[in-house]
Amino acid sequence: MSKKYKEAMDKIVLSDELKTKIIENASKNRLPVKATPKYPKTFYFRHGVGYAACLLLCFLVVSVSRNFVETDTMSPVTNAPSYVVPVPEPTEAVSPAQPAGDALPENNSVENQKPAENAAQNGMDHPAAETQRPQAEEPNIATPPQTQAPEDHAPVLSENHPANEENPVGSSPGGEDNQVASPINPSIDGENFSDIREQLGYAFKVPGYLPEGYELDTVSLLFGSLVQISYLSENDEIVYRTEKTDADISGDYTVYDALETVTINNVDTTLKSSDEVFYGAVWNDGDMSYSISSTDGLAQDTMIKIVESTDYPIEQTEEVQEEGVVTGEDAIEQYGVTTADQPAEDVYDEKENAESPEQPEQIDREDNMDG
Amino acid sequence: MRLTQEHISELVDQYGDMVLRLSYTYLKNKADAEDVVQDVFVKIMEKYPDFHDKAHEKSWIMKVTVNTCKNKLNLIWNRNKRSMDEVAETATYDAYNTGSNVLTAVMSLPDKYRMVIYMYYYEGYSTPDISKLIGKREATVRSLLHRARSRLKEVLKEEYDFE
Repeated sequence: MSKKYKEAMDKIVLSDELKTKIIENASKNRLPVKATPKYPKTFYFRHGVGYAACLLLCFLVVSVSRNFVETDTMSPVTNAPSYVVPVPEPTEAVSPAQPAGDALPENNSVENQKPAENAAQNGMDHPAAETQRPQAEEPNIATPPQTQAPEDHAPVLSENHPANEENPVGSSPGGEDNQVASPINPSIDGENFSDIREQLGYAFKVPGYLPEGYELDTVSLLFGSLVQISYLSENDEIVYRTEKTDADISGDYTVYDALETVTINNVDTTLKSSDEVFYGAVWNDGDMSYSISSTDGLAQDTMIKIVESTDYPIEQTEEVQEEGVVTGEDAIEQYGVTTADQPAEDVYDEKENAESPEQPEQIDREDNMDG
Repeated sequence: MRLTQEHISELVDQYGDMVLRLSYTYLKNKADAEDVVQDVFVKIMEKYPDFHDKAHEKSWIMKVTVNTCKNKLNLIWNRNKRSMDEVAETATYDAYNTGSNVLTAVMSLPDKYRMVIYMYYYEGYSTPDISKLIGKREATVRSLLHRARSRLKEVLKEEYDFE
């Protein structure tokens, strides 16, 4: 409860004069009220329109999603002639090598089987009659394209998210545990971030990792200096802030049960938690302050992953390097050591990146996860 | 059910201030809020249904008030052809001379934030109840509360006490 707000609102009361006026008006308009409430005529119309709109929306979603799902479908064999022995369905998928010189159709769909079936029906020896049928089973065992993020909760990001453009879903820019091997590879909404970058006059870091289900919601510049990025999931909101200051910019004055300091990317980070649920993280790298807040709270490792993934986006990397913020050994020192297979010099080679910035080698997070 | 004058008077005593506060929070204008109060009680008289309990009655009156405020806002816009933002901007935040910075800060928030702050911190409704009253998802209500608190913290600083 807010005592001050309550005290202020308690002062807003109806005057006696107004009360009298209301009672008089209400009495004049007093009408017999029907005992049983009746729905207005528009009730059913509105609800009907609502249901129709929902159905239409579902239909659109299904039809759009079908266009993006690449699956081989087999049209069912129908209308088999009654005088023909039906083709038995093979129980195992077999892919025999095609006999040399056989002109088999490239398409293994059932429709192309029909000539073979007809040949079989008519007793003809069709070269594809036997070999094609098993092959038709291949689509059944074909693995559907990987559309789901790996189990390690790699970010499922919207099209406009920084990481999607060159980092397909399923990979992340992070390296080994607690180490960031490369700067963030974004598919940032260029206009919003670019506008803010322009107004700010300097580069700023953004989170490169988000838990599954979160999508970019808003990007704002508050008071001319505070960058705020909001990510929404179905039930939670993560708010990221950064500003050139040494103060706590989280805006969160809640008293949590536990405040622990951990070192992430060689920077002391304060994690705020209650009952083992982590609601916030704040840190300062000597130049900028950062904060991450979650309404519903996150697991500790998730919060740490978000913090350690926070880095400059690719399109800001050149400017950052020009500004001298991230260069060579300083970058390594700031962002952590890379894996043994990737020499530190390869991450931020100032000369190479200054001329033609190349995408640093992405290290698949899955390869480096334990268990 | 025919309402007696005594019953009407009782309803005004019981809910009049609540309707006024809710209307004022929504419209940020004293005159418009008082007009809405009159309209709400006329509607209550016209359509007073049977209620299960007092809580049900109060929720119904709040819903009527919110809908009446929305209609009022549309009417103001249609009559004067001003933008909705202009209507909100011209309102006086402390028309009742409360002298409260906290109230001024709350009234400076966008209407969706003001409503959830009022319902949560003054009326004591839970987020599920608020979601039913204003017709939004519970997660949305929690998000609105969170953002409203964030904005109030920045403005009020030491005076902030919305826990």
